[in-house]
Amino acid sequence: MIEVKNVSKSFDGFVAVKNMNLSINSGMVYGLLGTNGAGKSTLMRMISGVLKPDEGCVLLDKMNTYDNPEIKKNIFFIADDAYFFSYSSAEDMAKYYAGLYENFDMELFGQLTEKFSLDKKRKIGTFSKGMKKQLSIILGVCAKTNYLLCDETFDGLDPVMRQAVKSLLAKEMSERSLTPVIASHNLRELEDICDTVGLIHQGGVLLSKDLDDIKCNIQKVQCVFSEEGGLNILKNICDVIQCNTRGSLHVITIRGKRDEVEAKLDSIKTVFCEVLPLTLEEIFISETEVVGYDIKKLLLEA
Amino acid sequence: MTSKNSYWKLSISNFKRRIPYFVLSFLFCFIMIPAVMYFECLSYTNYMGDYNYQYIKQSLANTIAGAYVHDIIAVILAVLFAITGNAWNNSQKKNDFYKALPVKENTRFVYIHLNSFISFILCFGINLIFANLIVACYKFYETTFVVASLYSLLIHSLEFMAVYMLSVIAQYLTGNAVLAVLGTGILLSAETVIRILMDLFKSENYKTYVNMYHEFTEFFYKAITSPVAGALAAHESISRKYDDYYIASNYSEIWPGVIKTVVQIVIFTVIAFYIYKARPAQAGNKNIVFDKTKAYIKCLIMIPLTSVCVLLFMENDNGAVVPKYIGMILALVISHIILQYAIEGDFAAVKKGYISTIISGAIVTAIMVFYSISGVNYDRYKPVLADVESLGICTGEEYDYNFSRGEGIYSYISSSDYFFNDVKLTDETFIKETLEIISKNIDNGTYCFDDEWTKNQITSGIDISFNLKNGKQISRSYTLPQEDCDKIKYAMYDLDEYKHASNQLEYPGNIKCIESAEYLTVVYRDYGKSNNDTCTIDDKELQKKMLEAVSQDYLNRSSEVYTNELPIGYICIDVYAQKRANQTYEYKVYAGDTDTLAILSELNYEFKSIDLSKITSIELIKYNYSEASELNEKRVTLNQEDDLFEEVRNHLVNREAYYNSRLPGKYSSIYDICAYAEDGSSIEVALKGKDEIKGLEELFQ
Repeated sequence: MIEVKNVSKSFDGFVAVKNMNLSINSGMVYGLLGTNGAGKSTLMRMISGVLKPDEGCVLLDKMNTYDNPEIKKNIFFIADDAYFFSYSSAEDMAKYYAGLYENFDMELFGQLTEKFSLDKKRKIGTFSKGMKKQLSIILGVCAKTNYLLCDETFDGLDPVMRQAVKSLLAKEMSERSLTPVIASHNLRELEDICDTVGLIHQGGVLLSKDLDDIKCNIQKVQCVFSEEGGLNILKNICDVIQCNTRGSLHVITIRGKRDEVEAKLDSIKTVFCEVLPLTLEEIFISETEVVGYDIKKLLLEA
Repeated sequence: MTSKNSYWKLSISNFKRRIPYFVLSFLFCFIMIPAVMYFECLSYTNYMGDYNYQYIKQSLANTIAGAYVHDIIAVILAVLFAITGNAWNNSQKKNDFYKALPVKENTRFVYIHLNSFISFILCFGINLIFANLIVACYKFYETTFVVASLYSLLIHSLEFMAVYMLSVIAQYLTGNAVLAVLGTGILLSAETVIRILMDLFKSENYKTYVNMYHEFTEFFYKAITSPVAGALAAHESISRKYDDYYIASNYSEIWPGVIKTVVQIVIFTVIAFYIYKARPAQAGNKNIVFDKTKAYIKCLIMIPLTSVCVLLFMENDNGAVVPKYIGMILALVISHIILQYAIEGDFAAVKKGYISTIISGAIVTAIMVFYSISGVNYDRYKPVLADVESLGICTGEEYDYNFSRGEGIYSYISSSDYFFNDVKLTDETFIKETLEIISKNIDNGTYCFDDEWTKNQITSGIDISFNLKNGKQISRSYTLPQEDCDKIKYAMYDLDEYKHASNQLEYPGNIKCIESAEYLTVVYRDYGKSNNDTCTIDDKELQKKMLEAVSQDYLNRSSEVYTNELPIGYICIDVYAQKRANQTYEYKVYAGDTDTLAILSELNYEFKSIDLSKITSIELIKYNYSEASELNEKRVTLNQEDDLFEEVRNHLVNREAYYNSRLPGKYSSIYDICAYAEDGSSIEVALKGKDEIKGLEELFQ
């Protein structure tokens, strides 16, 4: 379990992370979502022990991570722009990591490089950006650590590769104790892989929730009322989070379980009414608006 | 990741990645050590006849042990290894990579630096072995080379480590390779620069200041914080051992230099480690890592830079106040712009950071004011007789002497260094009289060069060091009225302790040289003549008699001779030992030097005084400076038939008088005089008492 307790970090007066609290349970895929400069990478660096928090502490299985090699053996950090030694091949890097991570699986490394069509003898300098990302993930997986921290790792991967990586992570999670923490500024990257998502904004955690719980508690309804004032009636009986109106068609986001919302809609006369599936993006827009943040624009741009 | 196994894995992996730099360094060392040794051996082989075998071996051992080129290698490689080995600190990407690994911070600190040290020792050590092999191939080898090589490896490795750690500090502070190289240079030379600046400020402000740095290298090896100081001091101590008569075997004097460097390594390592731990991990891509240190770094660079500008302006304008401040403001503005850009990496930052610039300006002003105010008390220092143990006096007239300290003959000691530190004049009466003269002139304001009182006076300079009973040595350079200066000098010339100390033939190293002399070459010349006569003395007995005679006459001579007589000739003795000229002694010969003259007579040489009666024409040249400061000369030639010829001829004296201020009377300083004899040969003369010759000035109208 990763515990971030009252952590703050500043750079030259700029507060990157401010009094942050976060818990990431083991055995789940955790998505860290936030705009550029939100503090995701700083948080990832503090979890992986690259940075020392100015205040608070980052605990991994109840132990501080900073300058603690014993606990760092359980973490593999894949940075946004991963570094490889000059003139080294994939195999050289694997051997280097094998010297540092006791459980590094060279056999698996061979299999995965083959599966991902990466030439392990080829100099990494000649790899494309996507290939380097793949190699980082393969090295991270082969290190057999309990925690895999991926900072914007899925950016730059093509859809096929992304799916392959997701499958790889799923397989590893099913076979052993692995907790991937994936940071991204793109909601769509995380939607189909994360179990829990934490939204970081301006150095703090806006929310951290299980995706299924969120999805069950928010409904999107598309309807046309037969009488004027239908919308007001609905607002009185339901917890309406958001409403967009185009002519007589209303698209309304309502907090509550599907059965309860449907029952309340039945009590109002409508010409047409349909409950639609919510995207993760819409859920977050709705959720953050509730806590007073207008990040809709930011997330949509991302 | 603290097990030994993992440590070696990391270390080997780190070493592998640094192989290109190792190869580059190895090649550099190869060119600078064995290749240079090869050419030196080749040169000695080709010109074997010109050198003695022992000299060659000693010269080669000297090259291996203490050549400054090895220091240059150590410094260059230290900076190279420090910058390349720690460059990862400057990149955010590499920081993320290295710091995320399960490796203890301390372990990383140790293995990177230890690898650098081992790399240098390997590069340098292997090439020293190659150099030894080359020497052996040329059959110049002897066992002292092993000692010389071990010394070289030890002192240069320590020097490397000290410079390396200093460079690492610069790297950790700046986080930028280019600035780190500059920073290393600044840290390396900081104390030296401060010493030079202090010396310059004193020279500019203290009229009686005596510069005790006789060679530029002294600014380096006397420094406490400079990492090259220990090695240079060690070289200095062993270089005295390397001469024709000494087999380098005693390295006991190197230890102060070694200890100094070891202490520096420990201190620099502790500082580097502290900064390494305190250094924020996000420092990559920043020009200066610590925000809080930016202003201090800027001030530390700005203060010496501004001081240099101030000194330059002072130098050009005789210490005038306005140019000093113009220089300061100019330096502050320029250095502010450059440093703000260098530190912040942004030209927009030029508009910021004024406070540190103003503080730097204030500090430089304070320094200027301090030296200006303290100069008065400094110059007017009057030692109390009871506190003075001895005096060391340098008149500046001993420049021709070969000063020697200890047993080595090539110790290159300047006259003031020798007379201040090796000649202690303890005669109580002499000390009392000297202090009284100094005190009187300080009270009269006639003790240092000044436009006002020196304008119409004949003055003379004298440097005195007051060796106090509490161990302190206070040195001052006075400009006194000629009369007072002469009183001190002549009293000193009569002191036995001075005579023996200043007699070149009594220096221990010179005695050793003379004992093994193969032959002497004696060059004699009459004063006032430019042609020499030379003879060679092979006979051991005659050699001894010649040198003893010169020495004895020097010891017997009283100050009255200097006061009342001109020398009658000049003698130069070259002592040759084993095919190589080793020492030269130059003496003036006076009429009373009976022993010397007797030996010269044995050698069929007699000094001939100038026969002024044979002069047939005199050319007088007067120099004038025009308003445009251009030098014009006007020549007048007097022949025997001219009215003034006889009178002028009667006022001619030996040219030596022109330079010899000891003799009473004023001599021409505006005329250059050429006198020609019947046969057309010229005679070097000077004009004595020109004011007494009526109508002389009119000749130039």
